[in-house]
Amino acid sequence: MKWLRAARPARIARIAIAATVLCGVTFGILDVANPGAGLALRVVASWQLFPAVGRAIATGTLALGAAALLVLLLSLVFGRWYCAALCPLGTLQDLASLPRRNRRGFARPRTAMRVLALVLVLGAAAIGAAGLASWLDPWSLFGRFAAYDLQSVLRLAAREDLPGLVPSTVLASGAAVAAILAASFASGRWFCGNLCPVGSTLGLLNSLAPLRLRLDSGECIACGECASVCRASCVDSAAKRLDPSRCVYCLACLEVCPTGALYYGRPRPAPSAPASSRISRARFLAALGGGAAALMVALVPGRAFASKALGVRATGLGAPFPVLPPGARSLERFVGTCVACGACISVCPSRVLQPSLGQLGLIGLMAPRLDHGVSYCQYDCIACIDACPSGALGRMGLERKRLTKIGDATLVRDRCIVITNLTKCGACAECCPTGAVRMVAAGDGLPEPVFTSSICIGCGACHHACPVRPDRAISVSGLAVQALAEPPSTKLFDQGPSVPAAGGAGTAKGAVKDAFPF
Amino acid sequence: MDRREFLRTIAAMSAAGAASAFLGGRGLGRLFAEEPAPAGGRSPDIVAVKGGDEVSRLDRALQEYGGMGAFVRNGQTVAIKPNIGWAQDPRVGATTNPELVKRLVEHCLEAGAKKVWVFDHSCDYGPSCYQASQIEAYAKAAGASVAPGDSSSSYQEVSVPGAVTLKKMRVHELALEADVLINVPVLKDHSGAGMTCAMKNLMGIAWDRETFHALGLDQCIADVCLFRKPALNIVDADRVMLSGGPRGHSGSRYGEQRMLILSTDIVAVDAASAKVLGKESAAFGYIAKGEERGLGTADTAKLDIRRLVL
Repeated sequence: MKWLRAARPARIARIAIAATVLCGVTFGILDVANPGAGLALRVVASWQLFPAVGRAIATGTLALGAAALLVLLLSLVFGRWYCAALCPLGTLQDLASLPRRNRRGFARPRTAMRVLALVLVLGAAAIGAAGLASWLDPWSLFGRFAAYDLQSVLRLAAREDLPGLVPSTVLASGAAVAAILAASFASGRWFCGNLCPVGSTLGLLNSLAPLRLRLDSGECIACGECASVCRASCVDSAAKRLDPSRCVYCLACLEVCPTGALYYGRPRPAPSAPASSRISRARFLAALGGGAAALMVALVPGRAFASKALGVRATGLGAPFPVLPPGARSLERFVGTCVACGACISVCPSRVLQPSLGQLGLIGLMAPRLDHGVSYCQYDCIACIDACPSGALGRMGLERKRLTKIGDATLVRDRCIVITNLTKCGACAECCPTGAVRMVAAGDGLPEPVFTSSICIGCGACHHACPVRPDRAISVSGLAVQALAEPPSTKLFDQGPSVPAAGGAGTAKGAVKDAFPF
Repeated sequence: MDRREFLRTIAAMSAAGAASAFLGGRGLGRLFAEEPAPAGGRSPDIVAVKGGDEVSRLDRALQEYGGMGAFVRNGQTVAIKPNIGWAQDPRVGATTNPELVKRLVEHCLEAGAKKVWVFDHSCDYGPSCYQASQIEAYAKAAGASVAPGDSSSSYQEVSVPGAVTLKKMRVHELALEADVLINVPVLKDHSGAGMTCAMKNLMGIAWDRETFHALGLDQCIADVCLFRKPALNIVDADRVMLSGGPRGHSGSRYGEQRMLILSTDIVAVDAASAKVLGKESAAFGYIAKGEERGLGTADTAKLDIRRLVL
């Protein structure tokens, strides 16, 4: 009974890793005020396959996509362990399927559905619509669920405000995960074996892997114990075979198999070849190849279609260009890379980052944008850049972020209440971190706002503070391509009052009154 | 105090306030004006200390009142309102010096305060301001509780009798609940109000900051001061930001004043502080409007000022 002793610790280890990953990422998204939370989020997120592929595409190098490459290579050699340990949505499904864990059975593979889902996701990613593709990516689905649903519940319980959050965001994110968990309650890892693009890719690699979970049909007595505990519905005990493209490495079968027919490793000598499995794999490969070819053909018109029909149409009608987070660089690059997982939005302290619902076009659905009605980008903060797992927000330090121009303000003097109503305001200049808006006295009148575009970074503090409604006197629009602002001059505020030097400590006792200006 | 208990207290306080306002024909502002008077003879209108450091200045100034016991009695709760408006380092001078806040908390606790709270409705993201200004860490080290000011649920709507523009506003529960309110502004230049000191600092007990700007800062600042008169105003005029305020910029100029100015009269303390900025109180509309509403005396020539040099 050697295999039993080995299977149990392995299974415990995989559950421990899966639980750590799930807790780490949940902690990272929920306890954003904790300094360790960002690190936990980043460590887990950096290994997620779909954002990692995005990172490789975004940077055009393999350096930042190394995690993705490593996951793929390791899976090709050692099998599909990723889904058992590193995917938070997978572990969440395991939890949802616990009540029916011993009442399972084999289900036939749905190859057409899997290939279609994979091709759709790859196609969407290829035409620059990563956000759309993300609706089947387990990391993005989980991230949105944690950011918009779990975090909202916690904040409401703590009597905190939820500025800017709209119900449709909460409902869409929650409904997607609820549907997956319902399927999971009914039949285990149904999503992973039938829809998940990451699962399909890794399943394919697992089928080719020399080391993987196998069923030795010579040892199998077709007792059905394994099938009753298999959450992937991938062991056909009657036919004495295991579908390697759907196995998620939960290891439950290893523990219950009475004969040791299920094992991890290389094929045992003289195997009775599972012919039907080979046919299934061949069909899967052929379908995938066909899909990829179709994809290549559709790519060129697809990209044009994506940017025209699904992209932002703000340039017409004079609508303001959306403001993207620092490091997005350009709208096209951003929506092509962002997986809309909500990690940046969940860590944004001021909540100025909000998921877009059409503002970035259908192509960038749920990708972050700045909503200056809610708040403004904090000058000394790079939380979103640190949290981004996909490379959609390019890495940079605080010094560079303070100069990164994500938008530009427009001051409309005809709307400013200082000028039109002689109301003492100055809210915009008060909170401008660079001095791009200053109050300058014109003669004897009230100080009026004066704007300098070259040092404006588009943080939106002025826009947020301006009390004029319905249209604000100062507002910020985004830039098609982000730029670098000039550093503010140290002579910006030279027109202030000059103060007579007052005597300090050491003033003679008789001259105490002279030490004070009153 | 749990939420329900708190709401009950507020309801009782509002009822008591309304009843006494009705019976005595006096507003809440006047009601609260009857804070404990300084013990042992008449104290000066203003105590100003120059030299030394934040701690020695505060210690020396409080001696003039016979100690913190003149303002805080045994078992009372105290709310301290520093300026924590910006996520800036203390050296920028945009926020109240954390060492001053720490020493003040210690004085309150030594005087027998049951509980000391520190809070502000920050302009930048609240927790970042509390952290960058170091006020949270210093206040906690001295034994105070630091309360958030960035959640609308902490604010209750009140009516302000005598107010001209802001007859109703939402104020922080601590400004309603605490037995003693101590106002600890930092003196600096302000692009909108001209100067920010004690009166402008009290704007941080209110939620509707935007309304202050929309309706005109001067009258709204005077109105918020009518809501509750702080037991004591302590002005931090150590390194005074003379330009580029209130946030502070790399080009801001400073005056090294090493001064602390105390008064129970919020108008008088602002009038004196204006001179530290090199201006006259007449330059600031809210000081005149505050004096009009009977909040204090702006003419420093008429005030009994105790000047001390360390």
